[in-house]
Amino acid sequence: MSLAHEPRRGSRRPTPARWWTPIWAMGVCLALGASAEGADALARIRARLGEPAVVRGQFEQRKHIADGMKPLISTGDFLAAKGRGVIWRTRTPLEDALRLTPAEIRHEGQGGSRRVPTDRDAALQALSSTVFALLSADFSALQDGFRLVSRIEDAGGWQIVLYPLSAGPALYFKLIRLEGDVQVRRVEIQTTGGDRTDIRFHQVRTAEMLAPDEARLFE
Amino acid sequence: MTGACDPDGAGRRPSRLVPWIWLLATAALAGLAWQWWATPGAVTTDLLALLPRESLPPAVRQAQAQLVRAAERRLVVLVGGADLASAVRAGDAWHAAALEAGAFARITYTIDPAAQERWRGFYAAYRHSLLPDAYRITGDRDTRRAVVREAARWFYSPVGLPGGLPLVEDPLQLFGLWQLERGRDGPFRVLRERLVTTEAGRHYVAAVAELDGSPFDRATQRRVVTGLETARSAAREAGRDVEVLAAGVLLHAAEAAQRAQREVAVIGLGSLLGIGLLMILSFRSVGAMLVVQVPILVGCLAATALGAQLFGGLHVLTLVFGASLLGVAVDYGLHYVCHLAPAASLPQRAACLRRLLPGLFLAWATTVLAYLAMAIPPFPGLREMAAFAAIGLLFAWLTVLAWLPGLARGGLRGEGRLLRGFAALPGPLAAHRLGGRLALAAAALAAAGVGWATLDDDIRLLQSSSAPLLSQDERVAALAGIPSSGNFLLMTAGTADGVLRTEEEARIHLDRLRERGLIAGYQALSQWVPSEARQRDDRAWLGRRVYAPDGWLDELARLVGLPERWGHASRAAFARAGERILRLETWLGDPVSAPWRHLWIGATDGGYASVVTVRGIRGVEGRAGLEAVARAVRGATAVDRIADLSRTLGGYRRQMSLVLAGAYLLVLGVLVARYRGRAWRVVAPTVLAALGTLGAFGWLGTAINLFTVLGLLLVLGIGIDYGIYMHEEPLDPGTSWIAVCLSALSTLLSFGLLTFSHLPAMRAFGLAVLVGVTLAWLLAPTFSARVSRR
Repeated sequence: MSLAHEPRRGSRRPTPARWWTPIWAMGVCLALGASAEGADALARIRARLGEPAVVRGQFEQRKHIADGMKPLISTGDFLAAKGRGVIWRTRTPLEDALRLTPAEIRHEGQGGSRRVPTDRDAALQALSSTVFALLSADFSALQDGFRLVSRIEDAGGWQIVLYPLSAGPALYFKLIRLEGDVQVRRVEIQTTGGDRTDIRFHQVRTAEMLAPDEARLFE
Repeated sequence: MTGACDPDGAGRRPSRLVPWIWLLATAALAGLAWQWWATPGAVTTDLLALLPRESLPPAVRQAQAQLVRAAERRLVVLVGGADLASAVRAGDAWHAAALEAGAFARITYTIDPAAQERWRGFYAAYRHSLLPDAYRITGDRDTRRAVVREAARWFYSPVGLPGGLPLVEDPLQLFGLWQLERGRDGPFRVLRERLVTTEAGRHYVAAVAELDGSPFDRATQRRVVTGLETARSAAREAGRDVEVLAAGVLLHAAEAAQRAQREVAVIGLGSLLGIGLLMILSFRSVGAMLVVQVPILVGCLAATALGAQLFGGLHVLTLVFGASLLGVAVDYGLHYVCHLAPAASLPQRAACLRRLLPGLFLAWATTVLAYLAMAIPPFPGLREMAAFAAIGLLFAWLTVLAWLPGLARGGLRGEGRLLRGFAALPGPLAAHRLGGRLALAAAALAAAGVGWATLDDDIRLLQSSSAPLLSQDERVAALAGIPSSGNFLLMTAGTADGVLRTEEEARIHLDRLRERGLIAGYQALSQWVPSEARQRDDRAWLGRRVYAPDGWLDELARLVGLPERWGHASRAAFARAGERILRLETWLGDPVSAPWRHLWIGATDGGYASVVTVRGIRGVEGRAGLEAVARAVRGATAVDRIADLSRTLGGYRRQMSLVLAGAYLLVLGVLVARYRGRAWRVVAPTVLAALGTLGAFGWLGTAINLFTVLGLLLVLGIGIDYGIYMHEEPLDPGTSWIAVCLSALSTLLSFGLLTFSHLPAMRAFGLAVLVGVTLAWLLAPTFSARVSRR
């Protein structure tokens, strides 16, 4: 799931990292207090992933909605820029561009355009800030909201599971699971509404900067 | 200098009993006063108690009272910082310090997401009757397509609208959109579980504090003000460039009380000291000073004790006004002391008093009547002041009768420098010399100035708050989007549901005003509880368009690629939900309605009423817009408190002007009865003084208002006294003149101090009396037929 990076206002500038790597990098910091093995695992995960500023790639999303029928499958591509946000472009079965920034969620496409400011609603705000924290490797914020359990598997793969701690994230998330090896391969989100979203990534590429026309997308 | 009471001829010994009886009475009064002083809440600072009783429709009065009650126990605090992080840090520090100080009953600071979920759960049950305003759609083909497409995307988005409902229950996300619409109004956002607003790049976190007592209670005021100070410094230390803004009725009341207390002290002590100094300079005797001050002290004691009994506590402004009474009540003792011969024996002193009695009585009566006339307009504040003054004067006068012959020992009449100076004055001031010219000047002033006189009845005359406090209020109101308490719309109808319908009609107009920028937003009950008709309509629409076979739901399922089964399940969920109408009583009874409950007035005469509050009204145009809405919608009334109150004040001003004219005629009648042909001489200085005062106000550019007119009433009451003293047989006019000078100076001192009051109304009153009494005093010898030329 691609999500946006929350730009920090004020003195705390985000340390030059990783945006996509977030979840893993995040895992590292969150490992404070975790077992030596856990911390070790997170550190290794982080090292393996590197810290790019821009990530793009393609996804295949399967959404299982509450009543257990066959999943809704969509495919498309995404672009995530540290400090700016995330563009999630669904290509099939319908055209839709979702733009996530710290202040709003914006949909554009076949269904017209819809802006949802995320700062009016405490629950929506909690959801949005969790998502940004996830992606911007804001370990302290995530630490407030989630408990992380990370594990490195024998074949070189790894897995991190996030369990919500505080009331905010718990309203929406049941748990978040991340899997990967040299890249993030899979994200699974389970929500309290009973939906389960399963996203797999292909052809993930990283970069240090946005192309100018891409930068315009975030305005 | 000869006195009126020369030590020739013997007098009768006065009764020995009277002074002792009076002593007992005074002791009783002292006891009452002590009891009053010891009770908490003895002195009230309720600003609203000053306001006149208006004749308003009962619904409006109920609405105003309810809005005031809802707001008066709350304080809104904004803690601002250069960025969000420092604002939050400072806000947290403020919150912690305020809690520890224990100054408030409750502080709302963090937003609890769980509470929000509860709120959501409540409305979710009625979601089929609550459609978003933007979706009051007609259902044509294009709209249908647009809505369905939009809904479809939420099925494929990785991030949904957290409406808390599974998609099958709310396939078109209508409930989610309804929630978004509700949350849109207002300048606050929810960030980090706190209410945050921004302005010019600065962030402010908000807290609402509730008081645990009345905002007009001194003890509560002190506690809160101290608590706020502590919390403020804690906040400042926590971040950089932090500012703390607070607004609430309590702050105004506390400031007013503090200033008023200072003024009572200044005016009271100032008057006493001034009078004392006057007496010492005149008679070169401390005894004279004390003798003259005793009656006024007894008078004040009686006024506070009995006034408190009568009104169940005294307003602090009554005390401020009462302090100015000292200069007036001193007259009777002054005259007696001036006329006494030195080394007179007790029977002679008593005889002297008897000779002075008619004059003293007349003077006292005119002054008291002038004060009592202030009680004519239905102003609770003025009535209290009038009663206070009348009682004070009565007891001062009685004390002179009871004690002064006994207290005033011989040797009082030394010749101070001041006395000699006064004695020399009448010459130049008499007719055909300076006096004549002075009279002409006063007349000219009157003629010219009156034409320039302006009227100003603005209710802000009664507003005593300092500029910094007012500007802080304005800033908080603008930042926090607090609705105006002076302008609102009252919605009335025969039934409760009818009120909601009236609101819905008005909201169409209000939305237009908002688009034009004339108002920033409004709060109405019907935004949360639509009228029954609308709820039924909405649900019917859903059944007809969305959930019907081959309706929007089916189209959505096709677009998204969901099986028919899903459509059936959704339809079943809709049917299961049934027709649930959210009723007003249900909503009012649930905690979700807490922030808006004050908008519901309930049953009033002949129907029901609610209030729609408006914020960010843009000036005159905005207010005119509200009036237009009230005209366009049946059952809606636009209420403008400021205009109403100012109008009321203007009405009283006109009424009191007539009373003033009537009083002059009445006084003239009484004087003619006593002085026959010379009556015009007695009243002339006062008439000229009154006109001259109006003229002076015109010249100065000071507007005339109700309190100026009341001041002129007092000028009549006091100025007449001077004329009476000058013409009273068989008193020696020379001595009378000295007494007049002394009483004029003491009166001027007291009312002069009153012109420094923080309350504009008091200032106007004091200034009118100051100018009027000066003129009356200086003109008195001009018209006197009996000035002894020395």
